[in-house]
Amino acid sequence: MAGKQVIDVTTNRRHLEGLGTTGIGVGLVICVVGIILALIMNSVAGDGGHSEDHGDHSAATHEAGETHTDGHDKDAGHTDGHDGGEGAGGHGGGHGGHGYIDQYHWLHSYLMNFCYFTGIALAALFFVLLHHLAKAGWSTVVRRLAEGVAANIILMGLLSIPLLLWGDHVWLWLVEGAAEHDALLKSKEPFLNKTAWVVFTVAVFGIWSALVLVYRHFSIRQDVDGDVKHTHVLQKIAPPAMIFFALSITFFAFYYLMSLDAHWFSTIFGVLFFGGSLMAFMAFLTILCVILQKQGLLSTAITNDHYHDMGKLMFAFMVFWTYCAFSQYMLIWYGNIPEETGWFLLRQGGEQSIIPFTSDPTGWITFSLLFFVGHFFVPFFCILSRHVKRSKTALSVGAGWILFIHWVDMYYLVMPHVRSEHAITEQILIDVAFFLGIGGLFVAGTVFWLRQASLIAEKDPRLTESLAFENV
Amino acid sequence: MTTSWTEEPLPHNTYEDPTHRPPLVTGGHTNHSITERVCSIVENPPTKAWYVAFAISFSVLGLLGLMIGYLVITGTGVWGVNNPVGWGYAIINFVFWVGIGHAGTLISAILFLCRQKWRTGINRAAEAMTIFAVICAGTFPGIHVGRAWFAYWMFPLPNQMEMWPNFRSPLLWDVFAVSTYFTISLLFWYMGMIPDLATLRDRAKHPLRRFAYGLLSIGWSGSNRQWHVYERAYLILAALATPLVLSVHSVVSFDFAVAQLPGWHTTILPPYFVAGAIFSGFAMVVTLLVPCRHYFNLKDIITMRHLENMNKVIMLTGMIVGYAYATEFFIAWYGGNKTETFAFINRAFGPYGWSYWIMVSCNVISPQIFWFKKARTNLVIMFIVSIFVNIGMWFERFVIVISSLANDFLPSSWGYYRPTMIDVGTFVGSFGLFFTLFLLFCRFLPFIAMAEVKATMSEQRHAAHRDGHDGTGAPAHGSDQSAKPAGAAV
Repeated sequence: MAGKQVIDVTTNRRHLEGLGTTGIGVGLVICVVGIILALIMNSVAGDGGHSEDHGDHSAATHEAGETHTDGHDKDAGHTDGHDGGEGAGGHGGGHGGHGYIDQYHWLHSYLMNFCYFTGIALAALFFVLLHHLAKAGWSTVVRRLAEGVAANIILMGLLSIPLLLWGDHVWLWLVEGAAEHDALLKSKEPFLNKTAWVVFTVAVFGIWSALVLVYRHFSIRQDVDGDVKHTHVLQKIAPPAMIFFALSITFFAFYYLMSLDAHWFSTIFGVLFFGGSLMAFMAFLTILCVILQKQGLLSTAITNDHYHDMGKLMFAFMVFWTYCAFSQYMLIWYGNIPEETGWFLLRQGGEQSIIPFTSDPTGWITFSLLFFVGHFFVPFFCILSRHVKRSKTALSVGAGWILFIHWVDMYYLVMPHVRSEHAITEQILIDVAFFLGIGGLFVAGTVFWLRQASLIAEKDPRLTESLAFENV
Repeated sequence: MTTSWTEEPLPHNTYEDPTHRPPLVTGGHTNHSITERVCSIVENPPTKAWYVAFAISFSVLGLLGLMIGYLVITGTGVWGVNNPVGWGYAIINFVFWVGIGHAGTLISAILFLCRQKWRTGINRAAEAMTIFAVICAGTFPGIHVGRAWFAYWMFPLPNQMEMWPNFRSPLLWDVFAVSTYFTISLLFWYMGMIPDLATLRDRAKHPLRRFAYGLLSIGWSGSNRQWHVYERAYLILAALATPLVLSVHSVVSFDFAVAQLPGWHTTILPPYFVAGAIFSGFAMVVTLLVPCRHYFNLKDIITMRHLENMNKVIMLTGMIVGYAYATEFFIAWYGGNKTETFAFINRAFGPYGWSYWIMVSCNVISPQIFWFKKARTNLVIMFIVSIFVNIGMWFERFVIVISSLANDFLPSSWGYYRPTMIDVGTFVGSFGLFFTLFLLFCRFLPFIAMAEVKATMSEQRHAAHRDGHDGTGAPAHGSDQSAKPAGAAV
């Protein structure tokens, strides 16, 4: 087979220039649209008298058992296998029978989208670390883009501030005195306490940001001096950074997602969050590459062979996520231990029939089943073929679906804790509003970082290899 | 050729130069010299060392025969299993061998899909090792059933007694998972060997050899059309084998994880078992290849770079296993379940604490030496670490099986498990089976995937040629040119 023609990267447009301003503008407009939508949603549903419902959160928490008189309390109280007033039950108490667009729902919505984008930025950091750890060749042409996405960790760190301020509306264990009435929370206090959580958040976002800046710094410096030494330095940092990454993303998932039901636990949870995020990042990167190439940037540098590999990784981590999700579900279902099954019962509408559409007034069982189909079967058949992975249009469709279904995954992880008793579609616009709000900032942030340097690692010693890469 | 297995000519091809990929075959080989070198192992009469090794292995295999014979005649009472520890050495050995049987197909299938060209030097021997390890593994459930002559009942065969296995039991899933894996691995191994078997056939002088290799190479002529079909089939088999590599040990982990027993029931077990399997499998590959490459004069084909890469994989998977240990410990506390917390503290500080610390020091601590390149490229150190990992991974299964069973929910039912000499003899004997099969493989089948190694060499030449035109030149590391994996597939 004949070797590919040598590609001269200097014939490509490699700087965003004017497009950068447009990109940031688009991102900010999306963000504003999200904020406006959120405000509209608030004024439409805000008359439910929510403000007086939870002037005193801890009081509401204690009342949880009693306030659930609308027939749904069985589900919520049952979930954690303990008395009402904890976990999901506690939040249920807060909003009683009124319209429930309140700060619980707002902050859960925020948290879900925060985790969605933080996960993507973290996976981008992972991609950069892995590139250096494995001394990879093919990914050199897209590494600068990944570095740009990863730099959004700094933005996500800033966006964690609202959660740090009002976290007690989201995580019950943050509520003052919650552990007094809950032996389990008491026993977990060394981990689940405000100080540890704040210190953890500040520390990991700080170190992640530092890592991103270091990797970008040396990468961009190499554009100027072309010194191979920079590659060696980054390869040296990669192994310890990777160890830190593995531990930090695990505990991030434990703190931010798993502890939404502070009684529930699953050892695979961190791995699951990582797998889904990496899958979503590969989709994000694919779409980013397609958009840039549509704008005439990097037009010959990124070839179908690179798309093929990005598609393969997207597919691989989609399957990996499914594997981990199956491990988690199957083992908990088979073991059938109350302290574990509650988390899933919450997502299956309590003790109702698991046959879809039969007795599913809220839609949660149907949702869970469709979610599994949409997270595995749809993308499996969609991007299995190499022809799809080698076609920009087809792969973008698959990538778009992957990004959507990962969002649904975050919905699945977060939302049942605030609205498992409500119809799945009720007030979903608020979640979309936050998606647009944070997503717009994320896009603007990505463009902000990308426009500061060339879109490709100009003088990377492995660039030639990457440009000549053929996926056969 | 160096005089001792511990010595390595310098400079070897492990240097790091981001502008050039180091060569995967050193020593200035041509296609012909590769064929000569690899075929000579099979064609020349065996050395004394081979006879000695074979005699020892075969004797140990005899021990296995004796132990199994005694067991079948007498019953499983000859083992140390009893209440409360009903799963003893047999299950530990089963999981141990199945784990080892993961590296080969991982190297040949997953690394193939990842376009990792360095797999070509080691895949054949690793796959052979995989097959033999799975054979060893399969022995143990077969004899653990008590009445071994009814072992075929594990398969859902229709029979007049309407006896069916329990489909809800992961032990039955194991039967399917392991037998499927074995079948595909065997097919994959055999298919990969066909072109090389044809080479042996064409070179054979004795009519019997020609007949045997001719039969096995099923009419391979090396035509363009055959290669085309062959490579397609190889890719498809690789894609089918990949999920199997992951599924087998996942299903093995279900044996434990579906139970409610503290220490067994945890959701990370499937990926953790898979990582552990790859870990132990790679360690066994290093254990076997370090001496083999010396005795069969293959240091130019199984180069130091191959070994260094394997050591990196050992280090990585060792740390994944360490991550799983740590997560399990954390969640055992975090979950707040007192028996679960107890199970883990008991593992580390209870009556079997010694085995836990053997496991941790061998699996988590010993591979840490590979942070140093000097250690990664030192044959003695890597051999010792690979032995440590083999020991550690056996003890990991010991810790999981024994400590959880011996001290479960009710202190009144606790016990202490002691293996008998028959247990130990059976385990030692299984190494006899393994090494006997492996030595026969070395003797009669091509140890290296010659055709694949030659393909990487031609890429290497092509890349060197292109670099020459670019004016960049190759680094001054011996006479070898760099190989870039890209751009020159054959």
